[in-house]
Amino acid sequence: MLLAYATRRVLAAVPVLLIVALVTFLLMSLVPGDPALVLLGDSATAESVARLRAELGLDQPAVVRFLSWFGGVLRGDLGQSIFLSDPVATIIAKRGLVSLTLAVVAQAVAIVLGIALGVVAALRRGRWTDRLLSTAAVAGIALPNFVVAIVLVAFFAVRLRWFPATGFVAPWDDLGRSLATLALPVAALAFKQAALIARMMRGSMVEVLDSEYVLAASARGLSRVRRVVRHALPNALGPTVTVIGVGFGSLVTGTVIVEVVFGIPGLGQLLIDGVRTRDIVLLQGLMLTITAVYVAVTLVTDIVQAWVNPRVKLS
Amino acid sequence: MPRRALAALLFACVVLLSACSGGSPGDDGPGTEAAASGPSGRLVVAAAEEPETLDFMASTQGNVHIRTINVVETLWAFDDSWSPQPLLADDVEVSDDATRYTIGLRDVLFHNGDPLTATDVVASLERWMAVDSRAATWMSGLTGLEATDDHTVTVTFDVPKPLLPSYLATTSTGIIPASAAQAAGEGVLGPDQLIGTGPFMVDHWDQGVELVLTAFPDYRPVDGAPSGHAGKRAAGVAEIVFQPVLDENARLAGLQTGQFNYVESLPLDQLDVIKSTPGVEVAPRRVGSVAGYLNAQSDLLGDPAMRRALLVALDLDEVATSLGPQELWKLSPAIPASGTRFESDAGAEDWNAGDPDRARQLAADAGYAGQPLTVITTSTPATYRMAVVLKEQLEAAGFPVDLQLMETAAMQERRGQADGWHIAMGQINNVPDATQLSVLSCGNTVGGYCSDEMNALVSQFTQATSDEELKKAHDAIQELFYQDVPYLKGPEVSDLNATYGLVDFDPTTLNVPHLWNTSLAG
Repeated sequence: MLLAYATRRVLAAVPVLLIVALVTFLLMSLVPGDPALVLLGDSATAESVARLRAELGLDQPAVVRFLSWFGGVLRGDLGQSIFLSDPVATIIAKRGLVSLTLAVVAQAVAIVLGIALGVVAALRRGRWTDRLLSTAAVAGIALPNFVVAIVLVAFFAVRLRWFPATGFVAPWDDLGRSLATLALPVAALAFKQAALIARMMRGSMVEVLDSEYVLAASARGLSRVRRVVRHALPNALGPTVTVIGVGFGSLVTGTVIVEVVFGIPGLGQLLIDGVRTRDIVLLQGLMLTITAVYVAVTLVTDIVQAWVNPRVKLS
Repeated sequence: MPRRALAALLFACVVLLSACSGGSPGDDGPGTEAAASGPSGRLVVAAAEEPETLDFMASTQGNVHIRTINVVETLWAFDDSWSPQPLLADDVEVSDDATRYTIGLRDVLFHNGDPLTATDVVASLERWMAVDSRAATWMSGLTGLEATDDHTVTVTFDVPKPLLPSYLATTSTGIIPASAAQAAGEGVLGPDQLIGTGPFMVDHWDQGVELVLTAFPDYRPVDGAPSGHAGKRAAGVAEIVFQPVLDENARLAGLQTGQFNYVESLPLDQLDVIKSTPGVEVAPRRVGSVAGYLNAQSDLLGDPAMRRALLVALDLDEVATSLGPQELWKLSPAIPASGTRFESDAGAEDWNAGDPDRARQLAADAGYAGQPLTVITTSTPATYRMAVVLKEQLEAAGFPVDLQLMETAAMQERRGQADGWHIAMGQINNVPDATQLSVLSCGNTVGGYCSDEMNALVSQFTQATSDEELKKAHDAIQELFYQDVPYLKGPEVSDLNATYGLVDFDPTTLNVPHLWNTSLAG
């Protein structure tokens, strides 16, 4: 049943991907700017610009260019970037790994913090701890990532010099340096996500703690830890899992800004470079990938929700 | 089962979190890698932009040449006063009428171990002439480019070419092996074909991430005191790493924390903070003049008298003041810029006049009836600020202005068109003399300025054989420039660059900074 459900969802995503590709292409075709001019600079002659346009295939009609690109996609080829020497798929795989590392670590940190703080706030309902955490959560949701990032850099990198202000080292290259470079961008990204999770967790936990079966567990003499961890937590997690899943999408988009602030060479910088240079093939590949990631994360969220809470049925 | 899995996940994340706090920021700082012998240290450059290519022959973008100048060398190189001095050239014989150059070559090696030969020079210059549009004018009248023997190149023209050394000192004319030049042809020169004779060689280019150059152990420098790009060169560090860091505040933070040794384009309003940071030296980079290209193809500005009216309206002191601290700008009417050997104020009476009444009168005499002027600009700080002040001053002189802000690629496309704009803000890069300003030549300009009289003056200049004749011809070009006004020359500006922990860094007055002869402190 699970496989059939997943297959249906994946098939349903195909038109979404197609529309995204088409809209990206149309938007980039409407926006003024010529990659050949960007590449050659101001002193280029009209002839050299025309020659390069022909070389890049930009002299073809838009429909022909789109269909040729789409034909490649159907064969599993995302095309060749206009400016970068590698195929688009290779570039996205390489730079995507950087963004994915950032997003996954930030997500992990946010889940731990968010759930823990949400549970604590629910257990301390109405007391100062709850009020403090709830206020912090609202601030976390309200503050944009880049503001948090700038404050973190100013304080922890420039003033205290605990962490580097910019850069990225992959964990598989050097774990120690990687953790140091990841600390601030992860904190900037995780702040908002943790706040969202904590707020949702607190709400659903309060509801569950008030329910009769928790009261019954209490009456049976179960310890507080057992009541919370074994009985209340699994049932309170359902809505939180949805927030975590949906939030992962915004986390991926949030990395665009955070990568720029921290000078991290991930998908965000690639996206900005793609727009700046009008590298339409690269942009289409990127938009398809980001959409596919979003669809996959939503699917995984639904499946995890059913797994965590047996009352949820996949249909 | 789900609960156990969740517990395991939570535990793993807690471990990860606690590990996060154990990192040390100094670990990836510069200067940590040392070579076994030769220069040591790693010089990290935080670059404001990533170039789309490293093809220094085809691209005139500064962000290409700031990288490749450390790798490839030219036959001549400019000293600090923009005078060409021999670099790869050794003994040079010039015929009395300056139509024939016999250029002996120094005995040097390419990064691939092959010796430099005359064939490499011929192949490189042939490729340069094929891909750089400026070469058609500079090398006009070329009748022969030959390898006379292994170490001698002969260049002949049917007209005098006294400025050839100046042209061949331009960083676009760097010499690469003939095999690389022929393999690239008129296509894009790949990073693996970027093989030079310079003090640094390309290790790898991970585009968008980093360009790593390493010291060339068999480098053979020219004799002479270093000045600009001329004189003795030596690699002072084992490695140079160019990292694109797009956000100016990220570049600033990296400078303040000692992560970067050379940082481009810092925020202008942070000059005091930068100056007060220990170990940091401000190194402004003269990049060129802010300018407003005038669209000579438009109905409104087709008449030079109308363009002169706009020039007369401008008070450039006010424009300059809006650009930030005075050490980052300079006012001079000289074209292409002050500091060249041809600097003068010939014909510049109307420059910086700041006279709205006379401007209004001149415009009325030219038949102007109050039509709005479309001014286009990007958000680049200097050009945008000049655009804002220019709008105020032109409106005060009776020219209504429609100021349109656009992004670079869109701006490039718009100003390449004959209509849709009247003034396009931009930057004119510093070059050794006015004839190298592409805006003065027909066919490849923004705004379509084209004048037979200017072409004749340019020819006179390029064929002048004495310093006196050169100066006189250059003054004549400048006089006509201020009659025709192809662009409004604004203040000469510098990028706010800075170094951290560098010894003997040369803050050259040329527009392409270099990273040889400098080493890391301590």
